[in-house]
Amino acid sequence: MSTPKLRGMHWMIWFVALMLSFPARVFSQEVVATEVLDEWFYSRLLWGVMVGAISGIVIGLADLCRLKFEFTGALHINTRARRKLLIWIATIFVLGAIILFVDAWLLYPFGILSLTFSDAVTQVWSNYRMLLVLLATIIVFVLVVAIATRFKSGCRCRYAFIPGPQGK
Amino acid sequence: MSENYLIAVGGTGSRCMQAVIYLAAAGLFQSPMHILIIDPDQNNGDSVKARTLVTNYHALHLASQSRQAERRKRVVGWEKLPEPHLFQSALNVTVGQVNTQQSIFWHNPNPAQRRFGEVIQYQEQKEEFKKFLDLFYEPNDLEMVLDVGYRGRTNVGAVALKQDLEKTASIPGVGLREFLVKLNIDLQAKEARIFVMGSVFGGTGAAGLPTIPQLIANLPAEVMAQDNRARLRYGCAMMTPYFSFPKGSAGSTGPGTDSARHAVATQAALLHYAHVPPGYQHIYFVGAPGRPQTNSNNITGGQNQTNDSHYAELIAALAAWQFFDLPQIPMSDKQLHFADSVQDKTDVGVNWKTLPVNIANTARRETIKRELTIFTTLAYFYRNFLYDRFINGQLYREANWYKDNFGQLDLDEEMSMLQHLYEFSGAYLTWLAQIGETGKAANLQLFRWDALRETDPSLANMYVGNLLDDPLSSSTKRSQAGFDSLYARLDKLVLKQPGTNSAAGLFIFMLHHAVSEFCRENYVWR
Repeated sequence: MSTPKLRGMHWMIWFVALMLSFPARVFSQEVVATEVLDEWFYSRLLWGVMVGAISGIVIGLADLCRLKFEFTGALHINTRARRKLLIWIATIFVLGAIILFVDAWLLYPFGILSLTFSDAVTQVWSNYRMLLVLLATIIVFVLVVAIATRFKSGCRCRYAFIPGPQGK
Repeated sequence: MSENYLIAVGGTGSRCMQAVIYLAAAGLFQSPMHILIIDPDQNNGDSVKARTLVTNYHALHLASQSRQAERRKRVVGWEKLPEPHLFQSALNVTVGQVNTQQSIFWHNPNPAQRRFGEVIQYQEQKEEFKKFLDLFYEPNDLEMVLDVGYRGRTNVGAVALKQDLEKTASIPGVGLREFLVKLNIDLQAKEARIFVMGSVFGGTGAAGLPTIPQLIANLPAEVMAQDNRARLRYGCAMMTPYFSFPKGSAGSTGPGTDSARHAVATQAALLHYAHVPPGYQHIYFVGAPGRPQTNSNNITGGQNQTNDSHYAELIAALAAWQFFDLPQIPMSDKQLHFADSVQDKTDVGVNWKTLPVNIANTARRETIKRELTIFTTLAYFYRNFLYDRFINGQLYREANWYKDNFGQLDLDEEMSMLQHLYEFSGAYLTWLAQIGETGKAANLQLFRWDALRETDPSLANMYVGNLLDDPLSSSTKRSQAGFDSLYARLDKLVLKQPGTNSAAGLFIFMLHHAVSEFCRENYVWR
C-alpha cells in the first residue's frame, strides 16, 4: 500500500537522515584541509588510472583473450567475454573502494576525531572524490580491455567490445 | 598435370573405388582422374554408393578453394599458406568444361532379364557346337539371368562382359566411349596410366581384369590410334579373397554365390593368368587371411548388396596411388607386388608401418598417415561440432573467422555445399569405422575405431585430438579437450584475400589449414 501520505513520510525520513549526516561531513572537512584532500585525490586519481590500465591489459590479454570456446552453443565467446568484463568491473569497484578507504584511514587520523568506523566508511565512500577515482579507474580499465582485446593478434574475443567487420 | 585412368570392375572394384575417392578427398590424389565403374549389375548397392560419393565429391571439388592465400602473422606481416589440398583431383571432368562431369558408370544397354544363353546365341548354334559349349557351361549357366551380374561364374562373365564392352565402345553416353576418347586425346601428347581394380574370386572382377587390356589392344584404329597404345601403362589391384558372407540358397533366377568357393576360384583364375598373362606392367595382390563377414546376409546382387568396407580396399586404393606416383614405367616392366604385413615370420598387423602395401615399401609412408589423420580429424570435427550449428541458426555469422575473412562471400548461399560436406564426412567416418570392425582380427592399428562413430559432443570433444592410433606418435601433448584447441586455430586465421569466389571453398580451405596445424602440434609431427 503506497498512499501519498505514506510516500511523504518516506521522503521526510530520508531528508532527516541526510541532515543528520551533515555535521560529521562538515566536521571531517574542517579537520582535513581541502588542499590536502585535493592532493590525495589527484595522486589517487593518477594511481587509479594506472591500476585501471595495467589491470585492463592483464585481464584483457590473460583472461578474456583466452576464454575457452564451448563445444555447444555459439561459435564465438563475445557474450561470455562481456559478462566476464562486468564481473571484473564489479570486482575492481569493490576492491578499489576498500583499498581507497584503507588508504584514507591509514593516512588521516579519523580515530582521534572521535569518528566511529562506520562514520569513517560513510565519510570516505560518500565523498565525490572517491567516486571519481573509482570511475576513472573503471573507465580506463574498460577502455584498455577493449583496445587490448581488439588489437591483440588472435584474441578470441576481438570483436566483443569494439565491433569489427560484419561479414555479409 | 597428366590425367590418370581408373577402372573398377564389379562390386569389389566399386568398393575399392570408394576408397580411392576418400583418398582423393584427403589429398593423396591430386592429378585429374577419369574413373569408370564396370558392373553389369546396374543397381548394385556398392556401385550406387560409389556413384553417390562421386556426386558429393564433385560438388565439393567445384567449391574452389583459396589460391595463393596469405595469412596474418602473429606480430606483423603476412605469410604464405600452402595451396589447397583437399578435393583437388578432378574426377571425369569434360575437356574444356570444368563444371561438367562425365558419367563414371558404364551403362549396360542390354535388357536386365537377358539370359546367358541369349548372349552366346546357344539355341542358334549347330548341335555339334552346342555339345562343345556344354563342356564349358552347365544348363544352369545358360539359363542364368544376368540382371545381377555373373554370380561368381567367371566362365560366364568372361564371355558376356567382353562382348558387351566391345559393343558399347563406340556408343555415346554409355560411359566407355567417353573414357576411351579422353584416353586417346591424352595419349597423343604423353604417357597415360590405367589402373584396374577388381576381385579374382568373383564373376565380374575375375572376368574383367584380363579383359580391359585386351579390349583396348583390339580397339579399331579410329577409336584409338595404334601409336598411342604404346604410351599406355597398365597396373591393377587383383583382390584375392578377403571377406566372406553367409551361405545362401539358389534363387529362382539362377545360382547363388558362395564365399567358401572364393579360394578355389582364385586359384583357378591365377592359374589361368599365369598361362595367359593379362598384360599389366604392375600387379598388386591384395587379400586378407582373416576373411571376416562383411555382410550378414547372402545377397547375390542388386541394390541390397552393400558390403561393409574392409582394409584390403584401402590397400588397393593405396596401390593405385603408388602406381600413379611411380616416376616412370618402362613398357617391358613386369612387377608383382604383394600386400604383406609379415616381418621376420611375425605378423606385425596392419598399421602405419605396413602401409601403403607392405613393410619393405616405405615410400611416402608418413604422408599417408598425416593426410589421412588430418582428413579424419576434419570430417570428425565438422560432423560433430560445426554442421548442426551451421544449419540450425547459421551461427557462423557471429564467428570471428567468418567476419574476418568472408567479406562479400556468404555461406548462407552455399548451404547445399555444407550439406554435401556433411554427407561426405559422415560417409567417410562410417567407412572408416567399418574398416575398424571388419579388421578386428588383423591387429589393425590406424585409428581409434571406437571414437569414429561417437556423436555425443562431450565425448567427441575428448576424442577429436586422439583419433590417431600410432605408438610412434607421442601421446603426452595430445589435447583432451580438442574442440577448443582446434577451433581456436580456425578462429585466429585472418587471410589477406579470400582468394576464391566460393564461400564453401574458403571455409574448407581454412578448416583444413586449422586442422593441419592442430594435428601437427597435437601429434608432435616434425
